[in-house]
Amino acid sequence: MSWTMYRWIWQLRSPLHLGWLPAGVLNRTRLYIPARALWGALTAELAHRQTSDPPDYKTVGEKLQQDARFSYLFPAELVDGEWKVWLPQYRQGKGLVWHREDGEAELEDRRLRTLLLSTRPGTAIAPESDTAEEGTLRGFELISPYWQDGDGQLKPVAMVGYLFCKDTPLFEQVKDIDEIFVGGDIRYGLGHLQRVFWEEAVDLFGSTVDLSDDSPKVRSTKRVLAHTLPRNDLILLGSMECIAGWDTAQGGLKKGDLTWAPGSCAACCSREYTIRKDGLWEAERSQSAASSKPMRCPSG
Amino acid sequence: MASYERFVQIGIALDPIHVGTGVARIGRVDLPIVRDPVTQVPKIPGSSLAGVYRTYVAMHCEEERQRKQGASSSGQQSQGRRKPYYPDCAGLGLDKNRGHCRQPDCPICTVFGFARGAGQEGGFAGLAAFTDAHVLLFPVPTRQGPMWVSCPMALDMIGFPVKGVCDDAVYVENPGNCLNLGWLLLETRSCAQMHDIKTTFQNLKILDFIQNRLALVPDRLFAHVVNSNLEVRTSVSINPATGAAEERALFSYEALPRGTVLVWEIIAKNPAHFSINGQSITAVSRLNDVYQKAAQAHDYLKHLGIGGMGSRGMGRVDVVYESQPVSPRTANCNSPANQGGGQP
Repeated sequence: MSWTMYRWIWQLRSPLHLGWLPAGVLNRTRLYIPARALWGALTAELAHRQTSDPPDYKTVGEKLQQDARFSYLFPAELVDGEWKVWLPQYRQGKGLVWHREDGEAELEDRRLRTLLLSTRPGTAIAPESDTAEEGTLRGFELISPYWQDGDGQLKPVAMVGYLFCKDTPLFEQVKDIDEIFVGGDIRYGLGHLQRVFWEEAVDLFGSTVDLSDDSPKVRSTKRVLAHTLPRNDLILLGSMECIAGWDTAQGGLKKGDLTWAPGSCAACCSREYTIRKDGLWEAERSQSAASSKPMRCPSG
Repeated sequence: MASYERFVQIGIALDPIHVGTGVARIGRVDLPIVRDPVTQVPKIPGSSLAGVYRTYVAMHCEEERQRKQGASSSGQQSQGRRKPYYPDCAGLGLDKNRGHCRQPDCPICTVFGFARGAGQEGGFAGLAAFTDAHVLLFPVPTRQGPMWVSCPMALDMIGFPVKGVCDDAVYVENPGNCLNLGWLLLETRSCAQMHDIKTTFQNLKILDFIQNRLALVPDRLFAHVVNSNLEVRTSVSINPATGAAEERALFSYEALPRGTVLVWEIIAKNPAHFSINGQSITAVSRLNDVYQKAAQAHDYLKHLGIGGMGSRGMGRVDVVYESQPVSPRTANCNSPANQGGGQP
């Protein structure tokens, strides 16, 4: 059975924190929602809706991995009533830049971070003294629910991505969920997302997708928009990151995979990538890529 | 089976409220308060609310425990509990001996969660989540006396999206001459749907004297109006030997003024979906139980308050409305009352 692909847009109703490497006492955030975090949030919500007993996260999570796939969600702004997503791309000599889906704008990473991010300090209060507890001061980096353009107009922020599904009943269940809580510190009101748009789609951020195989395959794309497993014949310009995480169903820490970070760009033009169950991308073997010399990443 | 439920809370500041940032900012007072980074409107972070709720519920449970212990000569009702709720189950609680009890029958540790300390097993996120508390209505001095100012963005938080509040003007029930909001002089405009807005506030149990003195401004003006009319106090230490001001001890701090109306949400998670160390949670069993347990803090909030400067008469909040979200409605301040503005 083939996959059906949907573009969905989740508007931020509160600040959002997606754990990343800390910098001193500052807990930093990613600018995108990884597929694994989204899968976790949807697994929890689906499992909770199915039972009043302790939920069977393992079964629900595996079913979701089997019959659904998720792209990463990237930040978007509302331009003339239409959500335009900002996508990462590493550039030779410039590092990470973000460009808007419609090709009308481009920003350096640090500039986008100033527009999207805010920080929030916090400290624990010792109940015995009602004063700040020693050694508990920390800061949280957050994606703000509004763009900080500074022109006085409040422009909402949304996260945009794609859902792939091949099971109609599961699709109906996922479609029923129009509000999720994702990321860190949701007990302090963070990570509240509301779905504001949902539509069947034919391409993934402009790249064609093969929906007929066992897993969806992103065709002919120069850059990767998810953490991508390295292989010898895959030469990218970008950065690498070790992705690990807790898997309570399997009883511990999931093995870390060294991956190319989202935005890494193929040195030799386009490749085809499989979207795996865990949300990582995996390059298909390419004869031409294996035999060709590395090239500079196209500037477009 | 619902996995969570949201409970809207409306509170009125009985005193000025100072939730500080912990840092100074050039051009402002020495001790500024927390603001939303984009709108620049002051707010109380959810983490501050969570900590205060936890502490006060722990105080309440401890009072109950001791009362029951005193009432029962055999002490049967609290025999199973080794630790006090307060202060052990309040605060960060990582200390092995004086920290959180971390038991599935503890109303504090289940509702508010606990972290994993050094050498300790597991952690629990807690069944109650707290959003930031935002300014819904802000009192401003005018030549007609105090007016409570709001804006579409703030009304949206109580499920009442308002349209048509766009011009550089103040929208009131009975427009007339220009009106000053603090130092800012604005034309007055009529808001055709003010009656609906007042009815909504009435349902939210907002006091009559506030309902009768409502004004709306556009979102872009709201932050200016609020930030220009915060309470700013200056303090100085007094040298007990001289009875005069201490050198270099002058400082200023700001606060949300008394009468500010705040809105926040408590999100209760279903206890049936969680366990602690493999044991079912027994302290609370339903979504409403989680909320009711958290709401035990409200009496304390009214007397002990939130934020800093509590010893200087700051921080008390009276929670006047505790319930679920009101049904979404839409009002259009450009359209007459009989042409929609009602249900979308």
